[in-house]
Amino acid sequence: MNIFKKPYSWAITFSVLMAAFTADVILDSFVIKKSYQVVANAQTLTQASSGTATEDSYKSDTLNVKLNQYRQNDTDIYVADVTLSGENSIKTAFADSTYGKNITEKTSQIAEENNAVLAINGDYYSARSGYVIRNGVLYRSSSAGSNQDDLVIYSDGSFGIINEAEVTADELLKNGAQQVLSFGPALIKDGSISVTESTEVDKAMRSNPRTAICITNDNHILMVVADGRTSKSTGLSLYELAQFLQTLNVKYAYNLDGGGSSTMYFNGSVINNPTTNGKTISERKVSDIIYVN
Amino acid sequence: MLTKSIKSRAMRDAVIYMLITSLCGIFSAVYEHFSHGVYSSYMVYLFLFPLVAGVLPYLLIHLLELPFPNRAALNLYNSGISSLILGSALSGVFEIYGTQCSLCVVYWIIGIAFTATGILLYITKNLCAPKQA
Repeated sequence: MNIFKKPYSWAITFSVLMAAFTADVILDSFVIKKSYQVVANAQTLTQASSGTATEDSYKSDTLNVKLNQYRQNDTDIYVADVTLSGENSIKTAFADSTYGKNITEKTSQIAEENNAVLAINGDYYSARSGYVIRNGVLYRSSSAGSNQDDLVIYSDGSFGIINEAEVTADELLKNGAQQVLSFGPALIKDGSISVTESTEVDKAMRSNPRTAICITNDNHILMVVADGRTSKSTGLSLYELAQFLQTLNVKYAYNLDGGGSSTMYFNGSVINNPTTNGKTISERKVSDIIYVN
Repeated sequence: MLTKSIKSRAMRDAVIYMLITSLCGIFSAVYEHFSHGVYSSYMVYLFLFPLVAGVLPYLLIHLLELPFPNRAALNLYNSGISSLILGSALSGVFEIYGTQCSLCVVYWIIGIAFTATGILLYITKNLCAPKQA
């Protein structure tokens, strides 16, 4: 074949094809929006409870939120103590109310669209594999395998940690799973720290901004966000976060998407200092949130 | 004269691969520096592809005065290595970002297939072929 014999014709042809393919891979992964399912029942979930709000608290018939701020390991940590009653429960929402790929909005935007009183970023499902069950609806049932531990929030409000190699998404749904979050790892199980000093997400070996959701031994929900990558806050390792949470009487704690995604929204404002580079404080767009209202 | 030409071409390609190795090393170091402590083996060891599959073979050809590969073998082999380098770099980017890339397997398949075919062609056409008078 001539193309193999001429000095540069093969190189040019191959380079052009590889460049085109690489551009397609990058655009498909990071840019091109794909909508798989619009959440039809979003409005039914957004009934805000009418309550009384202060700078650091919210109280209604079915929801009680108290914000606390801690300083540990040179890091500001924001803890929202949530008590739900009656039919109220933890809810989740997708960016643009759409289950898809590369569909993102800021945590505060999604929170406002859903009348959230309190919200944190979720697991950024669209950039990851693993189960997606939200508000009792199964969106993705393909397993990420034995390396993926998920947080399951059941319809009775209880928390559980499961491994995707051991149970299917359909079984979880049958068992009453309302929310399944697939990031991890689990930080605390049955009151004991379940990470070591060397356990890290995707080999992140140092302090970073973190987001976690927990349930205490007396059934309070804690939504936790730690600042990081700023001159004021260095951030936490997973072990440091787990150590801190253990002091709050936590029974189960689960790590969510961190880094620049870590955001806490309360009563119309972003509470923490989300940043990706330590220079500018700005919210990153994410694919989903966890909220209460 | 012919031997000198082969040696210089092999040495030239070894030097090019040394430059590519350096570029890969610099790219990995810069990328890891800004990845907030998230490490990927694909990124950390990116430089090994041009070093092991580029610099070393061409240096061997140069030092042992082996026949220089024919054009087809050369094209396939170099394309295979470039595909492996690109696949490793992209896999590293995706791993550090925290996501998966199902299409990245294409780079590995093309890389391994082209590299193996290039080596096979070199062995059959250059090393095992009867020498011309």
